Amino acid sequence: MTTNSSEQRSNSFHFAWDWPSRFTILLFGATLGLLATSWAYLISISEGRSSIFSKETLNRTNAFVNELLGVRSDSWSHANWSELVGLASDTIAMSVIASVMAGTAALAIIPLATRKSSHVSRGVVSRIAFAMARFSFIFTRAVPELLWALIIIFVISPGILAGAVALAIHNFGVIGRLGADTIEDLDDAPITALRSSGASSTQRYFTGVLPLAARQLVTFQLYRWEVIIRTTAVVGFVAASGIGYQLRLDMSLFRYAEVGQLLLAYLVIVWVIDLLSVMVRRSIR
Amino acid sequence: MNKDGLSALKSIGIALVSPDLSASNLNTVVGAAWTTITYAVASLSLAILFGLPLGIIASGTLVPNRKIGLPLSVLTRAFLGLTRSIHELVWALLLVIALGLSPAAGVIAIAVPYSGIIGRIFAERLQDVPEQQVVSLQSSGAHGFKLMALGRIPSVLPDTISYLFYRFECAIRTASVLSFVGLGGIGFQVHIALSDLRFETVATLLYALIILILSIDVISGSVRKRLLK
Repeated sequence: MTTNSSEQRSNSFHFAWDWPSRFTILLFGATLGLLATSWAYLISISEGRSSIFSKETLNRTNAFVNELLGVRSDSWSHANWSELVGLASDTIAMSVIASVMAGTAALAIIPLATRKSSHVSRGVVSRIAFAMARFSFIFTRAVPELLWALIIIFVISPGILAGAVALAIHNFGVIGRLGADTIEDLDDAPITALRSSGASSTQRYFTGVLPLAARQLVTFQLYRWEVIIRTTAVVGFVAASGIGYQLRLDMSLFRYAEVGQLLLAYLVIVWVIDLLSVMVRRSIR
Repeated sequence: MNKDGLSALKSIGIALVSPDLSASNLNTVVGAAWTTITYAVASLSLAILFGLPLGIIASGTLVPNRKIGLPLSVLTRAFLGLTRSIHELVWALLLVIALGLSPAAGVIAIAVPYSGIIGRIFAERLQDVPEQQVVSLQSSGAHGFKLMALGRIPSVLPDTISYLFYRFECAIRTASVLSFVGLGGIGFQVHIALSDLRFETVATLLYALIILILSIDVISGSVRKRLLK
């Protein structure tokens, strides 16, 4: 005990230790409980399935990776590269349409999704509009792109457009929420100045709020485009277009060398878009 | 537009305002939601376990010797970048073939890209810690692990925790569509209900997802408020 305290004195760091609050204990306990029950549940439903730590799994993984990389088949050598370019351009088209739709729709709804008196008038109508706008964001954001795609194909025939609409619906919610939070956090002073010089709420939005938030909004839009391009491949599973569809087809036909090619094309697109997005963001900074 | 697109849209709209709230359906929905939560929790815990240490290495702030630290950090960054570039469900497709159709494949599929994202964000936060915050610790003799544990990590912890809540939200969404590779959860039930054209059941499942996401939002908000106090 004495050595301990002398050690503490010789050490110049000092910890201000408080007992954790009831809230912290509750949160910590809940997290641990959730962790334990989740793992226990997943392990219980895994019983009877083949173990992932077996010799058989190792062999299968090895064979799969070899085929994926084109080691044991010659299909990489006479690949249909022009077809690959077509699929890639479909995928990029889908992501661009989705970003533009999501961004435009979000931009139209964002002004309704704020309660700040410097931005909007505080009538009953604007309160209802606020609630509806926020609900539309949470509703579209909570449902992932793929579930939207499953539902959308009942309305729009599978294809680039169906995939783009599914991506757009989810990302509308994400961009809308981020954008609405951004304009709520803006500095009030310039907008209040516009208001006191008699600008209407529409005029304040276009001449005050939008220019102040523009850079941040463009950044969000680009960031979402990076996310969308990754997801496009997956939405293609359902929307029957682009790299995703071909990926799923080749996968179910056990053509793993082609799968490897598609993955390579996918990675190239993702990296190029990331690079583009970084360049644009640097230039507007 | 589909041939019956408009009428489908109409019945989906009607279903959204009249979700199926019968006891037997609610039972299924709660079960599916629970499966989705367990996948999200398990995979996020794995991702944190791998992502945070990798993030510390990638930040390059742990090893003062630049000859070792810099290549190590660049390599780790490249590795994190590769895991992140491939979408969770593409990982899932690959892992199901490699490991067989077991919950483990789903958990690992989400954990791999999420480690990449968590690692990158953590690394960026660690690098952004203002130098004057750690200089005083350094001058009192702390270096290496001590400096990391007592200086940098505590100062990025509140932000990181609220980011992890956001990741949990994403994990719930991703876990809900693991049905695409044949695993259970909310997406699986949506699949079944859609193929029977039971839109009311689909609506209930979507609302369950919204309730899950909203409650994470609320908990995360209150934790954030307390952390920043």
